[in-house]
Amino acid sequence: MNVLLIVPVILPIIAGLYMLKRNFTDRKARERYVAVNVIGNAVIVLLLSFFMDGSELTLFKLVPENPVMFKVDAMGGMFASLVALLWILCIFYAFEYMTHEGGENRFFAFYTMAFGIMMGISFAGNLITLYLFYEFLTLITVPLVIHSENKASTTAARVYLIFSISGATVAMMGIAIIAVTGGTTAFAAGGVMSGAVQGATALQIAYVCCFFGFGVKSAIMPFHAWLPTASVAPTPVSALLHAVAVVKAGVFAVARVTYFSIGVDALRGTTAQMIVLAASLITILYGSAMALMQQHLKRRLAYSTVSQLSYILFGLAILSPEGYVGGMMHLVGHAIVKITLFLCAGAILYKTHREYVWELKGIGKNMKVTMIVFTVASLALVGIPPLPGFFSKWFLTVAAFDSGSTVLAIVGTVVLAVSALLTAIYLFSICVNAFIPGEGFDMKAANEGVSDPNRYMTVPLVVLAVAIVVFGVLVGPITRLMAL
Amino acid sequence: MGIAIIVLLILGGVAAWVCKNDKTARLIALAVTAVDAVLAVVMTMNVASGGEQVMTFGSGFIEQSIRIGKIECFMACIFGIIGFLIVWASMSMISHDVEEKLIPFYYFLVLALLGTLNAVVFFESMIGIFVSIELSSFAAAGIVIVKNQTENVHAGLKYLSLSILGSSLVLMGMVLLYVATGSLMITGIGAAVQGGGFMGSNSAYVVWAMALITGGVAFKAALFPCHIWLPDAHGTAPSPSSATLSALVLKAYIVFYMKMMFRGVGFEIIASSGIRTLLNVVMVVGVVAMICGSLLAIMQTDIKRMIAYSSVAQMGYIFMGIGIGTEFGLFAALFHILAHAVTKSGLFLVAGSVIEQTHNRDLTKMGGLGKLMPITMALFTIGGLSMIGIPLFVGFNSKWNFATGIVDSANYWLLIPLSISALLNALYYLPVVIRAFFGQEAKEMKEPFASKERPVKDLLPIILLAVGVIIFGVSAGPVSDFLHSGIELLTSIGH
Repeated sequence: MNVLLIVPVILPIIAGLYMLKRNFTDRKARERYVAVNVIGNAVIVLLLSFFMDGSELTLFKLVPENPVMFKVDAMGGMFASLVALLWILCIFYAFEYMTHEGGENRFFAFYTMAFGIMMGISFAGNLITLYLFYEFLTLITVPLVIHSENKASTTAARVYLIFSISGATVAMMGIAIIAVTGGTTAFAAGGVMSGAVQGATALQIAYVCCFFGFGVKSAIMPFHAWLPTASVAPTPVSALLHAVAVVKAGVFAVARVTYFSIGVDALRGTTAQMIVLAASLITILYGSAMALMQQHLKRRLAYSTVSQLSYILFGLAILSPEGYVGGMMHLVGHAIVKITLFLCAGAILYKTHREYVWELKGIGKNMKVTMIVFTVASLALVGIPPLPGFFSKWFLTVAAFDSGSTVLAIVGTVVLAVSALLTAIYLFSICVNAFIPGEGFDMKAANEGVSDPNRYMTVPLVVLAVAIVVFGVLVGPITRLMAL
Repeated sequence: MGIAIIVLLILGGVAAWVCKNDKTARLIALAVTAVDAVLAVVMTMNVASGGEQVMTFGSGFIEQSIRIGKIECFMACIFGIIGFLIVWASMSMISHDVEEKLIPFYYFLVLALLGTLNAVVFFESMIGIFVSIELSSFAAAGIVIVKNQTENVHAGLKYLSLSILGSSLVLMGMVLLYVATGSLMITGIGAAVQGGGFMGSNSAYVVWAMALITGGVAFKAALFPCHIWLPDAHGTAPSPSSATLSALVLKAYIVFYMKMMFRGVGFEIIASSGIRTLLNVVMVVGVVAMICGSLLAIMQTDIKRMIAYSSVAQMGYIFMGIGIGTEFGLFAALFHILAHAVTKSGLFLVAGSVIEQTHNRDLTKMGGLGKLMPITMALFTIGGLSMIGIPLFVGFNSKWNFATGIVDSANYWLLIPLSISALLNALYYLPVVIRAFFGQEAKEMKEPFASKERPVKDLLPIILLAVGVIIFGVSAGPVSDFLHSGIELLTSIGH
């Protein structure tokens, strides 16, 4: 029992609730309050993740045999640390960005509470706890999606709610099957299902339920429609929630079910595996193709997220240690890269009110920092060595070849290659046009009133760009950290 | 002790009626239901420690018997405690719906209704049960009609007619069982039916008798498509009546049905006879009710009719649980009785508060209501989240029980309608919440905030119901254990 484990979950929730009641009107006071809470909590998270591996806390019995409990392990600690660090960067960015959206008090209250819920997901010690926080993540982020309270955002919030809640319910059915068939929903590396039930049809049904149920949040085809719609939310929300926290929570849950609950041995070679592999490969291609067709920058990035998330799901569905490492690498790499891209898009929107790709021609002249960071992130996402995207794709390809299935190896490699090509087209076209718009282009008109945002925004961007490069350099130790 | 509860409620009701003064009547009703709640809890503790309480009077054909086991106590506590909270809430609400001179009569009906509901559950002799069912039907129709508007009279008469149709079907089933088994006690019937070799020659009797009783209960407990009286009755009745009807009245008949099915017939016979086919039908119809009830609820614009149709869907859950026909199925159904009673009574009382304060029943015109009535709408949110099945609220435990019950009985396909139903619940509860707190109207709200809120002391009973939703949601263990041992007691006959 380690009572400290409840702190990172409950502290931001209390802090957020207090904000709703207190209603800060002074900007400085509010920012100080949010920053202290988020940074303080992030420090606790990092300490827990690195120094208290294996500690546990059982709270109360939600359903028979399956209490609400927290546990720190390598995967949860890694995810929690990632989320915590990105959360800090995002709140500073949001301090500046949200001044033009208004309603900051409510926004930061829910933004802070969502941090606590994410920690609940990261440190959940069994599927029931994970499910509990998963549902609450949906509810707590609705006010963020709906923030501007116009027609588009209300619709987006409804779509988001309906998709997420149905997904969670389907996942719950899977969890119920696991609980009854396997007797427990607790996590252990390698899975906890006993030999007797391995390969049971019930478990296959459970796996498909959980994969697609949790997959709704990570936008697996055909349940992806909510994600591009939700890009009407303020950029800090799109960046943090729809590129990192919410969508990765779905992936994280799938990883938990696959590698820590049911276990790969019970699933390898089954129809269930074929179904989820097919779904993730289709989504990779579909997302990239759709991203290419979008002219709205945030929507293009949203579809790119749809595609990239399925890289992770694909890695997990290979059901091998290499697949797991590849998936986890991409989880971390994509989180850093995509948040950077979204924050760049937000900076452009904030300074110039330009939302469409064709409006960004030549913009690199005056928004140098922003566009250079955007380019670094693009290179990383496409997978240029030695940036993070390269390594995760390397591991995914190796895993596909090691899986022993020739079809999987060939199809997987082809899909990854085609998707990388598409990614290169839809991202590089923006970078190139921003710096080299072509001959006879009126550079002056395009840069009228355009400039880099102030340091609240640029510092997080530069930090992220550096992080992308460092991640690539330190890939060796990080890989060891992630191994099962 | 059971008889004391029944007598107390009925005499209390008569006292409230005779006093002719609306203030005194309210106080009598509040006091009587409070004592009833205490008695129910004490009785539960006695039964938990001392076992079943049996009381017999009369002899031969008219011999009557009351048998109180754990399930009966469970129901008595629901009737007692939730009944008390509803009556408490009605103190400040009822004059909005019922004329002053009718208030003493209203409380007579409410108390008599609670008394007869307890009787339906307590009696194990057919005649006692039947008389209680009939009396409760009249009292239940009465608390709809008492509002004294044309639509109420229509709804009440519709309710009464279909209710009597249901009772007659139940009566025919009882007669058939008597002919076949020679017993008028549920335990006697159980002993005969579950005795060796009985089903071999009398199978058809039992199946037909149970089919008739199923049909009768379907009308009385609003199983789709026999629900047609419910939206009118629950939708137009005074809000405290709607809460009583939906949270308590429907449940008494369900428990009677459960006792007939699982004490009279028993799990073993169910699994091996024509009753299984009957229960399959119940299960499928329950599933259809779950889906159709919710679809109908989505189409409503009147807040109370929406909640009423939601009850139709929730009854579907309970019948599905019964139809599964295993111990886990029965457990899920019983737990859902509690979950639905706590949640739905709160929702109806919230709806009543909203209508009282804003004179608006139209859901589409409730934009920004969360700013005007923040506590009330927060209570609605808790109820809605519970109905959807979000963890930490009691509805989740129910959904979990149904899911595990389904998996345990290997009817995997039932998981599909269960998920769809949760989604449909979300489709009609969440838009109300979103519209109340967010969106254009909420943003542009000019009036001073919380201006239409009712005082907290009037809202207290509804707050307590919401607290119940959370308490049973966080810690369902003790109730679940009690119900499991209660089911064991209920299904083991002859002691």
